[in-house]
Amino acid sequence: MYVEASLALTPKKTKKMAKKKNSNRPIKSNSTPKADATLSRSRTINWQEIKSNPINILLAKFFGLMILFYGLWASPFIQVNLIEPISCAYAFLAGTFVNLFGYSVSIVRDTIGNSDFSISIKNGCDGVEGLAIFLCAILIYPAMVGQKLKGILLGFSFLIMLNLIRVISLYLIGVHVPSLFDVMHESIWQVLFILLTLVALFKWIGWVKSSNANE
Amino acid sequence: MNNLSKFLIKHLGLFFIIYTAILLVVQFGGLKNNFSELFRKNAISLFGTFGSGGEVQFKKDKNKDNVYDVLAVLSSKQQKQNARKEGVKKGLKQINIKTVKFPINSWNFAGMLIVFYLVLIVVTPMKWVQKILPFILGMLFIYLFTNFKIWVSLLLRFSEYHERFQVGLEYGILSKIVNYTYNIISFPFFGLVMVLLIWFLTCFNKIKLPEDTIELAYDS
Repeated sequence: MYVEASLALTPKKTKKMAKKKNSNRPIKSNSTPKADATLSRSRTINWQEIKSNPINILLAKFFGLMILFYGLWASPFIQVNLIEPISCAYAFLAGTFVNLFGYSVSIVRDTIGNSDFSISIKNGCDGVEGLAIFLCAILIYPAMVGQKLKGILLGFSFLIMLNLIRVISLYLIGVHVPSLFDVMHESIWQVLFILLTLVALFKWIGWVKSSNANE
Repeated sequence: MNNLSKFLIKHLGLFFIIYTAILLVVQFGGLKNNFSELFRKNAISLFGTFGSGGEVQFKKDKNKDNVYDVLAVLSSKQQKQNARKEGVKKGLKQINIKTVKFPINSWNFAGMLIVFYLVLIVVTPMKWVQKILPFILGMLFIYLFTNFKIWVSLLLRFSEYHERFQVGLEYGILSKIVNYTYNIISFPFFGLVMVLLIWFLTCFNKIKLPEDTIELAYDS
């Protein structure tokens, strides 16, 4: 009963309200139709500007790719089949290098060391996130495929070497100046790695621009 | 060496001079302890009570052999009530409850991100007036991000011991999502990446390069 009554009343009420709204409109509104049109156009233009700004588009794509990367990175499949082998490879290379200088460390999976000091290469120390930032930025940046491939090849080589230096230096610091290990590990190397990734990226962008200008 | 290389080396060098100076002050000037205290107070005020009945204490971690400086101790009202009931049943005068503890490194959680972003803003080549808004936005973001990280860590711990505390999430899709999120955000490097993205967002298109240096941004 109540439902029927309310249903019957609703259209009348709406019509009345609509009439009231229409009758009030010219009196209440201070703006002319022309001003209204300008206002709505300027709102549209601002939104359009934000959407069409090439830097915003690049950043949005970059954010999207980084979210995708972290989604995949945290999955057990990627951790087991990609991240762990990368950590083990770093441990092998770093261990082999320090052994050349007579440190006689043993290498067990992602850990290098001896009875005095040992380090494990875990998530965050494998440099994969730095590589991902670099890769995502190169993928979204407008350049030719050849330029992108060269960037990836050189950039990855640089970042992998840099991370290897990080692992070796941290091991040596741990052995010789253990009091500095935490500061170097937490505060210096992480920041240095992310900044040098950025520098490598800017260098690549610079190279793309200059080679395009030369052509 | 072209102008871009000089520009990058100059600003990288400047970054590391300021960053190292701040690190020295933080390490040896007692700022780290002050920050740790501030971190604890903020955590207590926001997360002292957690969800429906959860109780969290943030204590100083006195073990100087490790890198952690804050110890979160989890318990719950429900747990205490159940323990009291059981104690009365058994006729005991006192009963112990099992808490869950997990250590936090406040520097890794938040301190490093603040210093990193602060120095990044200082060395970014743009007008000082233009730096104010990115600074405020970045600090706000770091504050929210840090608290989100604490919240996720607590929710995950409470959920792991849901049977004991009756707080948090029971095992299911939501608890898996929380676990997945924790696996991503718990690494300090993720925080640095987030800060870098905020810097990109707020500063990238305002960077003024030397006149004869090529533009970094994509030309439309």
